[in-house]
Amino acid sequence: MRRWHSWVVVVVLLVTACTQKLTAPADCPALCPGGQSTFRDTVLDAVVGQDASYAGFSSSLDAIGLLVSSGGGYGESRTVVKFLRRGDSILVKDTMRAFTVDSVVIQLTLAKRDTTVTDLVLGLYRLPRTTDTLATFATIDAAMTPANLLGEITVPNSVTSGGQHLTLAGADLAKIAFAPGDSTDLAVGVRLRASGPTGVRLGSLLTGASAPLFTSYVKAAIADTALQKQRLNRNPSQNRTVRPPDVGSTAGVLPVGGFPASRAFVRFFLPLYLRDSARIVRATLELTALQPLVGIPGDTAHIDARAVLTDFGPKSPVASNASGAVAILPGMSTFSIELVSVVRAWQGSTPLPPIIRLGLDPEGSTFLTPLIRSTAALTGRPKLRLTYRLPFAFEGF
Amino acid sequence: MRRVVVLLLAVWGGAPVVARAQSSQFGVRGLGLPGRASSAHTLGLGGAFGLFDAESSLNPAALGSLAQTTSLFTSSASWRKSQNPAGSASASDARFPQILVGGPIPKTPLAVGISYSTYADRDFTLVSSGVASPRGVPVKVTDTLTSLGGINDLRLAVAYVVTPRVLFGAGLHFLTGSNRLLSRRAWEDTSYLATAERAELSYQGVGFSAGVLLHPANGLAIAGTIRQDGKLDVERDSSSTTTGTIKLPLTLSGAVRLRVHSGVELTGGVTRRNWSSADAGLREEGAVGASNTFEATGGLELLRNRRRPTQMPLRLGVRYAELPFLLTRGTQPKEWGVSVGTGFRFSGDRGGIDLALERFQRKQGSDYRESGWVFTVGISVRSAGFRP
Repeated sequence: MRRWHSWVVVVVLLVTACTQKLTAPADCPALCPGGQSTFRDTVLDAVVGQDASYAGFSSSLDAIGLLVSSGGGYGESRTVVKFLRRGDSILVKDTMRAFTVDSVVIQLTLAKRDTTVTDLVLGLYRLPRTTDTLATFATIDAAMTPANLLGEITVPNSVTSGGQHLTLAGADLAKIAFAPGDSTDLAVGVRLRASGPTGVRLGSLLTGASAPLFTSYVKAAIADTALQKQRLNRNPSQNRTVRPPDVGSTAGVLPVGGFPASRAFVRFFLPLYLRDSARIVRATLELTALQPLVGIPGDTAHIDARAVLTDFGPKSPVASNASGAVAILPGMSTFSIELVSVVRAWQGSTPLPPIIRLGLDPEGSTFLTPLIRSTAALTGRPKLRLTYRLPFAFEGF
Repeated sequence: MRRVVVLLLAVWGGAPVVARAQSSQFGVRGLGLPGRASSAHTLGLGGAFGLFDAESSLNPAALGSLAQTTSLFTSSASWRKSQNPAGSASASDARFPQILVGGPIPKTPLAVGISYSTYADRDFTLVSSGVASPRGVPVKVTDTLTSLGGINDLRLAVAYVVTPRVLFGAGLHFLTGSNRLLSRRAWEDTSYLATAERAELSYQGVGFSAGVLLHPANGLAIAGTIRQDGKLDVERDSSSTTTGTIKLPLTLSGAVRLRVHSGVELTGGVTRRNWSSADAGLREEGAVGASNTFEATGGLELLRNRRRPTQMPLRLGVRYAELPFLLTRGTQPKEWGVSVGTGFRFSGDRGGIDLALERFQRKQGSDYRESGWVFTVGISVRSAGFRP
């Protein structure tokens, strides 16, 4: 092959090996074969009488926040903290030694407060060591007498978060002294008072560094003075919020969250034409609350909506990959949750039951308690707004 | 340099796997843009040489003119600008429109060949934007309609050399292929999920062709073919039942080649296809319709070396063709083209390269226009023993 022949080949190959760029402007529907896709809207109402709300499936001990409130829209809330046993001796130089207490500090961490209400005072009360999770609000509140008051923490008006301490020393140590039968268990109740009705959220055991802390500064019985001063830290063994039970299942209302935390189930009927062949492009669950939400200003939570895998009533397991959520704030009364993944899970050859489970995230840790209007309500019933596309017959020429 | 060529050949053969078939807005409706089962040699002459060309798949009788086993690989690249009422855009594509292997059967007057050509091409992507109002709220949307694929023509042909001046041929055509269609809508508001609808159309059909090639006098050749394609069965999404049937056309072609002067050859041809036979079937499938087509071609070949006519001749061609598939109701789409080409042989004439460049224009009414260039290269390899 002559040399110039080779170069011709090279140029030719480079030119003809280039890739495609196919896009042309579309003059549809004139130019496009098979017509145009058509999108439609429809609204599905929840099946009447098939919605319900159930409580008792989450433990108050698992809350990531502890609530204390002083009436008004917040209601009454108390916090109960049981600390791990402090013990009556301390290990120093491989030997358990007796000690005397110099001082005690109980720390609570303020996570959220209403800055429009001033003069916050947290009252810490010593509760009977037998206080357990069966203790009701009335029992707890009755035990918070002046005689049991360990002390009060005044929260400066300028403080919005952070550790708050109650220090007991000298004669006040008698308030926290353990009787032989106490096994050094300490249970503390927290009450709030302020210039007006308000609420605060405190860090709980599950928040780690923000958990309540019981610290004892002691002097060990050892000759070496350098080793005499010791510190004993005790985290909570359990902590929880105690509130009077929410008003019973008000007719026409589906509580979501609250105390104890409730989860609601709403059922829909998906028509055949949507179940089999429609392509759902948007699905919005529209909920209306009985009243605007009450909560610490700026505090947020989420309504979490999930598909259920099978219908076992209140114990229906939920799907992990078909869900949606919406953030809620104090003052809101309507909520829209995008749930296209949930509704698509209701389609196909192995559809999930057309049920949505509503829960609050976090549960038991917020004053925000949506009371959703149910299908028994005259207005504001749950409904599902769907935008979908029917099969597009674009196979034509 | 040879190594570079070999490397480029390898890359060239492997790279554009997805880049097949010509795309054009004139291939959106109906079965697509009709393919041209022609070699680069023929395309350089505007297509007029096709009925005389053994390396094209238009006339099975022409296979008889092959002196030895020949294989041909053709590739083309196209650049064009399309205009329609929605705007204009530039696009490009690459394709492999003609592959052929054929040659004489030793000690017989027969020649056989198998070829693979583009029958109709339906590669395109259409993009439009607009506003939809789901839930009564305007939302900007972008719609994309994509089609990949087309119909291919697998021809098995045999030629009978009665005398060197009289050749007959017949061919059996298997039409097969598919279109992979995708319709997609994306929303500016991401609350709406993008949707896609897919479909695959597959085609199957059989056709028959017969041709004759005569040399009644020195410097004069006459060729003619008749081709009848049967019904094209269309299935959607590999369903077992045929979803449509399209009756394919009868094709009649004739051409004359004349040596008007030593080293100057003139070729002209006409082709008529009754695509209106497909009109009813296409309309049932949603197409606008199909009309009969007429095609006229003319070419002039100036030979630089009469002893070796394949060495760098100058080929000039013109072409006029009606396109069968209407984009919209009204006038029939038409196509014009002028072309230039050349070629050369090397390695004892065992290898050959032919080049063609065509400037084309397509038009339907005043709304739909397209113009561009098609560059075609054909690489041929012949068995040893060639005697020019």
